[in-house]
Amino acid sequence: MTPRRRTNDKSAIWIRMLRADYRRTRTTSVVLAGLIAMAALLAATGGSVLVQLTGAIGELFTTARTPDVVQMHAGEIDLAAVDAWAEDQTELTDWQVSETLPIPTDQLFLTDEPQSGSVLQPALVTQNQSFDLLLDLDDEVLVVGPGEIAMPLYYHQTQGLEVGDQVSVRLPERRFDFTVTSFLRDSMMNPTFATSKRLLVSTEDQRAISGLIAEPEYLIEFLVSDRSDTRAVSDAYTRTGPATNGPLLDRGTFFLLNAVSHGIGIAVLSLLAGLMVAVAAIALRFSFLTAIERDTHEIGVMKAIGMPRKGIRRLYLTKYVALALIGGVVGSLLSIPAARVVTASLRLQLGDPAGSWWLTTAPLLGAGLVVLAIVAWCALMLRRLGRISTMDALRASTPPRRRRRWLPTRKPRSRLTNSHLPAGFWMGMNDIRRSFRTHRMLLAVLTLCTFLVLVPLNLWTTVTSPTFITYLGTGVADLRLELRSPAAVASSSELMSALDQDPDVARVASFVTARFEVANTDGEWEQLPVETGEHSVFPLSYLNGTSPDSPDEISLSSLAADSMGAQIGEQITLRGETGSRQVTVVGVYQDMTNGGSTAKGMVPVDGEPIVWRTVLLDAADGVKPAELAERLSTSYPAVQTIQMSEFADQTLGDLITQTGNVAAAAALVAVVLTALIASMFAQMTIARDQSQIAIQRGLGVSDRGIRVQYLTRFLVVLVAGIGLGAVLVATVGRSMVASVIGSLGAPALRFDVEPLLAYGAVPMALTVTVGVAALIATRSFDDLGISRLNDE
Amino acid sequence: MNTATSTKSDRTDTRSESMANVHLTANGIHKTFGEADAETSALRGIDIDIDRGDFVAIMGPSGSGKSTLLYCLSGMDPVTDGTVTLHDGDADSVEVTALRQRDLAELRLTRMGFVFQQVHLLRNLTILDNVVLPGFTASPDEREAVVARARELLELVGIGELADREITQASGGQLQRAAIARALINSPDLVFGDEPTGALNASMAAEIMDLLVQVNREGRTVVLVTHDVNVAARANRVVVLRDGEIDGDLRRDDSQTDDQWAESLAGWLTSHGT
Ligand SMILES: Nc1ncnc2c1ncn2[C@@H]1O[C@H](COP(=O)(O)OP(=O)(O)OP(=O)(O)O)[C@@H](O)[C@H]1O
Ligand SMILES: [Mg+2]
Repeated sequence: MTPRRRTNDKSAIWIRMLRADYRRTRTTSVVLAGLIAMAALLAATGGSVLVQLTGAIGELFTTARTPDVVQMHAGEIDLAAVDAWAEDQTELTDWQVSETLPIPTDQLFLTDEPQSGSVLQPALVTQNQSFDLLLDLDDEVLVVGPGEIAMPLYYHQTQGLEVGDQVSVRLPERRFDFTVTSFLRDSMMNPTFATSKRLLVSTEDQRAISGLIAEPEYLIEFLVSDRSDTRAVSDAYTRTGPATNGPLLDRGTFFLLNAVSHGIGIAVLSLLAGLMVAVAAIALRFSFLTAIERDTHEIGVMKAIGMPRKGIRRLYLTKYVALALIGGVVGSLLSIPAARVVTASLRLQLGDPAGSWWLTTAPLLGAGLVVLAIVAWCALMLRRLGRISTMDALRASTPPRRRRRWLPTRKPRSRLTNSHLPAGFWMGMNDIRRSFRTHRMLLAVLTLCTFLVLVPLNLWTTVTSPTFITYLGTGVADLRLELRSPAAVASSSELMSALDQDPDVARVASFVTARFEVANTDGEWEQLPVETGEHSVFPLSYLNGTSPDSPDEISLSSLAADSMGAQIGEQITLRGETGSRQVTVVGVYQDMTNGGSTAKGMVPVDGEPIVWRTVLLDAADGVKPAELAERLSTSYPAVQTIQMSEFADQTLGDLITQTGNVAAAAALVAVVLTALIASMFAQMTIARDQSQIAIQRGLGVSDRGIRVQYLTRFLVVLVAGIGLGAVLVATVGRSMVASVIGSLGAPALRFDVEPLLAYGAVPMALTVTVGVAALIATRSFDDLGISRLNDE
Repeated sequence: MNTATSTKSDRTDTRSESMANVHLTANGIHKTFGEADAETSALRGIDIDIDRGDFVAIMGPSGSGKSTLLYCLSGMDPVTDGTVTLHDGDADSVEVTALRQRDLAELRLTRMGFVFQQVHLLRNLTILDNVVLPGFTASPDEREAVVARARELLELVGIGELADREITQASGGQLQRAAIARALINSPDLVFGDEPTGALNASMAAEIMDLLVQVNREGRTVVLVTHDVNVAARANRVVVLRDGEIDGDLRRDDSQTDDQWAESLAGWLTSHGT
């Protein structure tokens, strides 16, 4: 990239000019390289995650011999018919039918904790013979003996289950105990999204349990000889296959499921990388325009003495390419440790992909793209150089006369003469007005940073606010008791009569949640936990409609209503063990718990599978809820006693912690970005305004007076940026968050803003950051004397 | 702080009689630029008294230190060695070279005016605003009076009708007049000019010089750097610099006519090879 050394003299000039340029713009150069490095880091990490992900999935699928087509089937199966069908298909190389034993979540216990309330559908399986193998963490085919169980990694990652822990299946007839000997990688059902989970047990145990499970389910699996025939086989099976009560999936779907659960990370990384490239591009453009303005005279001289235009352009390009390369290299290097952190969970779930050259080239490719984008942007900017005419350039250092108009023109709108503002303040405002284009970039970045801080912060204050239970589908009471374990359920009537007589309890209501089935819009039957009881005692807030008032009425969570396509006033069919009944939808409420699909009703639940029981109660006047909770939990250790203020944390703890982490990270990024951009902006504006500062100093305006002008400029832009950012948060940010949270069950989420934090601490932090940057930049104008200026 | 008395005692009695009328005293000023190994000595020991109400022209070849002397006298550039003292009638004198930045700025704002070779007006302000700014800065509470005076000054320098123009909408000569108006806004009694007519053609230069002469007639001390003998001839005293030292110090006799003074000046300069 260095200019060709036609003559030593010439390249020496370039190098001298580059060096001089660097000396004058050190802060700017460092900030630009830093921004590019951040963008490159994000892109390289994204690239790294992408190849590790696809590589790992590919290898896992190969080792596990993932089937190409899988038909799930619930109910009776005629194995001979499946064999007969398969033998007719020429495309198949192998097939098998694997029996799975679904275990109701309230009958599965991890170290004595029932899994009721979990949205997962665990099922016991045995190891397959030739394909669809369940692997251990070393990618070896798992073998378990009697009394042993291999659990999906999911339980290790989310519930802290360890090897050696006890897992039990407690059927009404008999209890089976297992020791966890290993965790398993399941090429089909690994992802967190896949609600089906396969638990591997020995053939002996499987056989013993099999007789006690009413409705085993089957996975009918096929391998095709040529993958391009996958589609044909699926279609053929749907048309003519013998057992089709369930969804049909193929290898592509499994790949996608695996990819998507980690792909969100890639999406976020690419989004952030794009954002950083945009910020870097804005900053580059600003730095370039400043440099041009400052160097216009030099450029003019160079043109005047006949130096080729190409050479001038090359000089600038060299500078920016050097910055981009430095940023790219630094970003790529940093991405090595960053990618290891980001892919930790991925590597655990899918295994370490074997080294391939893609693993090293993809991050470089990501960083390279960023560098390329930056260089292309610079090349585009540099076309502007051609437009500077020699005369313009030479004249630039004498009084500006570019748009000279002799005839009196419109009077300037605002004049110092007519103003009553303090002179320094007015001067600052006037500079913003006169050179709005330069301030636009600072405004954009500050708006962006405000947005970046406030959206996650408001989300965090919302999820931690006491009113957040509005979105959790529960009535508002002081305490909530959950009876999940059989011991607790057994003690429920005793508990209720005790609570009824307890003088510390003002009001109490008990609820029973039973599992029913309802038809979704596709006509498939879905499980729906219906909470029954006296809903009017502790009413919850409804999006539409009211609480159910009779056994014929039901209220649905908004996700449940959506998936059924049910409106208020419509009838739906509840299918239970004891028969079906028609109920009328009377209300819709928001609920983010239990996967978001729940219902409130008053239907009889005798004979239906009970999922859990809950009790809501208010403490009597003068009784502290915390003390009552304390007392109840010592009296009834089997019952979970939760203060309503902690309910959100108990049920959505993971989401809340993550939101907190994101909010903190976003705040940090925003402050760093603000500091970088503000100091770069300060340095550049001051470099650009050298003459103006020198003149004012010469006239006797004090340094403090000049500083007031700059602080005015910065702080006014800051206030505008914060205001704009806040408006964006209230509009765009809110609907962005609503669409994400809405998909989790709370479509009408409103930000619960903590004004002191959002409109006090955040603006304060940004103001201090910008103020310090401005003060540092204006710390000393000492070398900006008028005597220097005259030498030019 | 040094006082006039201490300055007086340093000096010889030959000058003491005129001391009461001295406006500015420079004592042994040295000014060097650059680092130790690549030093340039711009001023090498300048001693000069400038009388109140005098019109002094500073001449000399390019690079002889004229601009540097002006900046050192006004406190814009710190001296390497020596003192500059501003006398204030009967009141205490001020040692300019011992002042802090802030006080120097205050001093320049209220008691000195400047006109530079390049006009150095602020680009984001109109002509009137440029003139008004130092006034507002010096007396924030008397805005109306400042504006009235600014308009008066603009009329005086002959560009009253251009007050509301942008500085991109006026010629170089007009802008230089505006700069003179700006220099006078705070009614300083000491006005410095560094080749204010250097970039102008002869007739414009003459008009500007007329203005400066008028300023001087109002009782202000004017110190003017110039290359031009005709410009220098309008002054009462001409100080010639060479290599950072005073090479000549010519005063106009009261008996001399304009032509005689110009002639003797030109004669001196020719005989000294300038
Ligand atoms: N900022 C500076 N840094 C280094 N050297 C300087 C600086 N300013 C002036 N000089 C040097 O000091 C000497 C005197 O400069 P000065 O500008 O006072 O000359 P001058 O008499 O005004 O010349 P001219 O008639 O060309 O304006 C010169 O040798 C010059 O190179
Ligand atoms: Mg000079």
